[in-house]
Amino acid sequence: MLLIQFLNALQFSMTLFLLAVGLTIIFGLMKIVNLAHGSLYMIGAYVGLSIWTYFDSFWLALIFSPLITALVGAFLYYILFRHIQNADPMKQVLLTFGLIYIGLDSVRLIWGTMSHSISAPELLSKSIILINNPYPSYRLFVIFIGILVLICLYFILEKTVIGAKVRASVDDPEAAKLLKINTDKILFYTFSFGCGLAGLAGITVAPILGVEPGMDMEVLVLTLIVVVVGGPGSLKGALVGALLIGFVDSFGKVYIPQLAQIIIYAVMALTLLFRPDGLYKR
Amino acid sequence: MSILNIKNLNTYYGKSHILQGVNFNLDKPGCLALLGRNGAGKTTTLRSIVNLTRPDSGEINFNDLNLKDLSTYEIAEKGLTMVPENRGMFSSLSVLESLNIINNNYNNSEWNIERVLESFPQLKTKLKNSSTSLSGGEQQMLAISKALLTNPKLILLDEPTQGLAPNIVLELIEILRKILSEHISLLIVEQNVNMALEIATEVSILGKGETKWNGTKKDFKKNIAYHKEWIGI
Repeated sequence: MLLIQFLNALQFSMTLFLLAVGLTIIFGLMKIVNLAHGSLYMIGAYVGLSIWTYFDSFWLALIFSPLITALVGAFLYYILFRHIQNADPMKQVLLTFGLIYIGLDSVRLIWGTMSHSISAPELLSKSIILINNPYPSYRLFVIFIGILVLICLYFILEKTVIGAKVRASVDDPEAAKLLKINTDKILFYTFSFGCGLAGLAGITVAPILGVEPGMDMEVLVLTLIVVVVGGPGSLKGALVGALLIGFVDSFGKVYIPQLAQIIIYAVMALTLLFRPDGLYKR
Repeated sequence: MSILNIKNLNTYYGKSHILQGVNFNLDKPGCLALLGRNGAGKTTTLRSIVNLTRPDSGEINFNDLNLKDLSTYEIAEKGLTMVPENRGMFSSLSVLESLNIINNNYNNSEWNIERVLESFPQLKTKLKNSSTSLSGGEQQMLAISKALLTNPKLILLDEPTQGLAPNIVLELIEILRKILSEHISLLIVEQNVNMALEIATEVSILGKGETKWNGTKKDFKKNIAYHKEWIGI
């Protein structure tokens, strides 16, 4: 039982990580809290749904829906986000908040208000037995995707020159510009990449949670909590925050269900009480 | 051909009119010291030149090239960079990474990592260290190394001696002299007027956002009493 709980919590944490890492990079680079980040997650799931429906292939959906979500992100960056960088935070909040409604209505218009489900691919549709307990292999696959993204991100960010340029642009964008680094180009690609990761989160959880309008708001709140707890702008913070919130939420629901609704908020409040800048201050 | 020519520069921060007519000229390779009291607009002048703060009006010519509408990184590509007052350390990068991120793989580049490390041997032993773990003096050396790796023709230095021990200041003066001997020009903003005068050839005095006086170091020294009002020494 404990193992099953542990794996569920890990799967949930990895989904939160995919969402939080994009949001936190965007915040670190642009000082914009993109409240529409959850909408991109929802769009990723819906685009995946269409690809899955038309081509009858989950794998195609898995590959193309993050790419298409990244393109949506690139479009949004070009027409909106690059203009509100350094703007009054209130303007940023209003704009990205407005995008949530546009996203929601667009989804209703295109895909309707019904909820849909996507089935896991044949290869991952069975459960496997882990210490006498059956466990859906698809959830293990989601954990695997999360860890894979984590390793790739770590490698790119820590071991390549491009990654070092991204980190430098987060640390001190002005100093980076003075060293011939085109931070705007880095912003554009990282923003789109972060949106693509939100899309990846959307399509990977679709077979578990289904696809429905409103799925964006549920994860948005959790993702924001992860980013705040981890420390806005910190990648390590996104990982540790996702694990903390994912585990507290999953285990809390099982062991102290009476407190399930408030426990993650309590964790956030406690973190901010002792570490006002989050666990990993940048 | 003049290295840097500033004409009637005006810059606002929001609604406050910070620079209200800055004018100076660095004719030939050398060092210009921009002096003035706290709040005179020295840092804003430097930031406006490299377009970190967008000037409202005026003209900035660098090697007879008008910098209007160029972004900071494009200006750096043209050979004009700045060492900011906070030294611009990248907290998540090691010393070596901080040097590596600067595009520098041209064969004809005068400064490469090997050469920079020869000039700043104290960095050699700390390549793996986080750049924010360095001492103030070492951070300043790293900041100058990074600036050199962009292969600049002009470096703007904002308060380079701030917080440095006297013996490190002397070392820094030697380094800046060496840089000048390589035909790289410097524009230096300093509270430490004596230090600035050690290396400067030209002086420009800024007061309340306006240029009050321009001239050679010789002329400046002749009449220091006259300038006291604006530089606070």
